[in-house]
Amino acid sequence: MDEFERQPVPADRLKSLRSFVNLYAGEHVAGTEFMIGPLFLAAGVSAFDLLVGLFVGNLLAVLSWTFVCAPIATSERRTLYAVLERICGRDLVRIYNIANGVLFCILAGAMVSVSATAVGVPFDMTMPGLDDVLPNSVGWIAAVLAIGALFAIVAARGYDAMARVANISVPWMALVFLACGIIALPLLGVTSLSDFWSIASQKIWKGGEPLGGQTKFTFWHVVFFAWFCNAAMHMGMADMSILRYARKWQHGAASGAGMFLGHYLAWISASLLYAVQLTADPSNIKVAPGPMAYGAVGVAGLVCVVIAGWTTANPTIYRAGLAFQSLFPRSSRYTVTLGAGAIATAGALFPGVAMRLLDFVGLYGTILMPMGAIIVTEHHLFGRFGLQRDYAIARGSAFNGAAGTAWIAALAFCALLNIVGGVQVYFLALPGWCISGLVYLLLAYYRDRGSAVPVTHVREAGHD
Amino acid sequence: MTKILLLLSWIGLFLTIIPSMFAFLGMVDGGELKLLMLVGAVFWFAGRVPATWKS
Repeated sequence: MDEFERQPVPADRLKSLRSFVNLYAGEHVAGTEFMIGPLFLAAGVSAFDLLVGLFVGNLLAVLSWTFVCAPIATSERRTLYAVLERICGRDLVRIYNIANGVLFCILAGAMVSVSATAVGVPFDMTMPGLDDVLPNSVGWIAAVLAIGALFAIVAARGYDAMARVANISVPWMALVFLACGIIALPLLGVTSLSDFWSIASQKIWKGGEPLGGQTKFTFWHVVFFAWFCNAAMHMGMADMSILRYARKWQHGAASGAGMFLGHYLAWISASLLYAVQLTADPSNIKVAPGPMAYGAVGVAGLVCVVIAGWTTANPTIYRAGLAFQSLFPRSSRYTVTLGAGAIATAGALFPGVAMRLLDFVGLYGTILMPMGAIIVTEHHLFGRFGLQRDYAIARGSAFNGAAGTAWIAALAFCALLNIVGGVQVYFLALPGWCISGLVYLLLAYYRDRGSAVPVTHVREAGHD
Repeated sequence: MTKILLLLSWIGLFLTIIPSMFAFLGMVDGGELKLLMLVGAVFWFAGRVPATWKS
């Protein structure tokens, strides 16, 4: 099937708003939600900060998809990689791919951990604690190795079948999440809607000190986390690959289905499950999605945790394999994907990876998002300043030095903010994105101003 | 056949969400809820898996 990886998507292959609503709802009701919801509670968040902060952060994420990513995606009609290759050159895109692949492996590892907690329930396995970094039992190692091997093999064989399972499961999984939340409410003392706010603020999300060495979350932590947990996708422009099929840029608003089903409803429901566990036994601060879901809704909950982890881990391992393949072009995709699965499984052995998922997600966006700023700057500003667009293809360059420097400068600036300024990882993505765009614009301005080679136009128009 | 599969999947969805509402109102206990949700999962996948593989 032609996926139009190198050329703009033709008009007759564009898709309706409904297909984007389904796609985003499916992608963002996933295994990670079972970890993130409880980790908010462990981070000592208050009810107002969580409920309002999530609303604001998710709204900002939807606006980023709609007004930053979608207009460029529908104008270019190309994948992120094709656009980056035209701007940055093959070698720089290869480095970006490696960073992407490593981060994908870590994310997939967290998903293997989530599923392992469900598989361990029938065997009465000792679950890892919130502050555990190293594997805590032989049972954990066995469960992770078994699940990781299974996920890697399925991913290596291509994930068509698994993608179908994911599509089938989405509405049911969303309802299981919702059911978990509804069931948790009476167990926490909420018997009518009028009780909700007082119990939510006094018993469930009480604020106060975080648990198990987690970072304390305030309103702004919640807002920035919800906004930038998918930073690589919206302001990092990775979803150009999806939204290039949209008939209109306004279809970017379909991301709201994913944000408000997955990143609002599912996070709150998972957080409520953890609150039930803490109410029953305040000393049990383990974040183990399997036992939590089993306690609330039984076997259906276990199936949901395994499927949620599996359907997220599989495409992630598959994408990591594709990213690494640019490093080893002579190796088969099967072998490289198995290798990516092995790295993910090795990461999953260490529960610290999943337990620090909030930090990791912040870091993920910070590392990848600056590349999106390069595309946005080039799309909106280069024409006005008379600068060379698609530099790599116009000048036959394999490495656009201005883009590479902008990316490194953004990461160095973020590292400086973090190490010297003490700015936490959740707040780094936005300044990094701005610095990347600014540095790229300045470097390109000085490069093209002094260049003897005239600015050329190499773009074929997409279709708006 | 398609209609039967569609009916099965709708029954599955209802059995997944409705018991949780009854549990909220105190009308079903934990054991009944877990059983109903498991039956809901079976109905949902029994309806959706063949329908998806056929298409």
